[in-house]
Amino acid sequence: MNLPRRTFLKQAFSGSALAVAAGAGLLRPATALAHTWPVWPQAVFHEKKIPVLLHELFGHRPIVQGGLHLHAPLEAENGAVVPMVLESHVPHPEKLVLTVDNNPFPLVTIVHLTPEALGFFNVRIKMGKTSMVHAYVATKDKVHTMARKVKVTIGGCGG
Amino acid sequence: MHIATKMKTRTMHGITEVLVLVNHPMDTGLVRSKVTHKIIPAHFIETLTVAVNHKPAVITDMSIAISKDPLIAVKLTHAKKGDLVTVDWIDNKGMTGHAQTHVS
Repeated sequence: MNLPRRTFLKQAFSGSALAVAAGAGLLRPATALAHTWPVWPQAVFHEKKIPVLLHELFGHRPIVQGGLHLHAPLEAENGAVVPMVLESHVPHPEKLVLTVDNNPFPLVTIVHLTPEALGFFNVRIKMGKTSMVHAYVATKDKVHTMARKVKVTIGGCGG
Repeated sequence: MHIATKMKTRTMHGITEVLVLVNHPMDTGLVRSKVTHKIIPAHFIETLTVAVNHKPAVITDMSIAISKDPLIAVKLTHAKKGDLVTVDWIDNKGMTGHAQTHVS
């Protein structure tokens, strides 16, 4: 699929003085990496139907219960900051995925892992309202999952 | 606008934990400003990469649902004392951030 180019690239290659100035500031860390940034998968992040989302992320790999642990609070007082810890127990994890069913866009994050990294990810997320939170770890031929229900007292969407 | 990126590592039993903190607004684009009553445009980190000796170890694609001022932690298995750990991110407005440290 032909995804739109990144805003970053548009700015970097447009001739406007502003973009050049912004570009100059970026040069130090970004030059070496600019061409290697993977394209942000906009389509999956905008997908609202969970079965379609899972198919786009994992293809036909079977989804089985267990194999990882999702540490999440039972009740979150503030939906703007809900701590999540994903811990995979399966060998050779390729990616970790976190989804929240009742958020406007269910997909929260995709973590691509290399053999240098453990199947571990700690992050704080926003939740609009009480919802099931699903964690997935994908290996070459299988997807492991675990779900937790998190009750949210105050929504995370600025309310 | 400058966005501060901080990181630190700690090693225990051969596993190096990398903690990253970015002071980023992470605006969702779904919220109306209480002052101007206009939608605050989305501004969020799209991709964040943790690399060891310039080789990516963890690449994270993020969405608007990551909290403001993201604090994330990942664990590395092969990092040795003195290795250079770097973190680079890019957001949907093309801003980038960078931080680096050596494994102690």
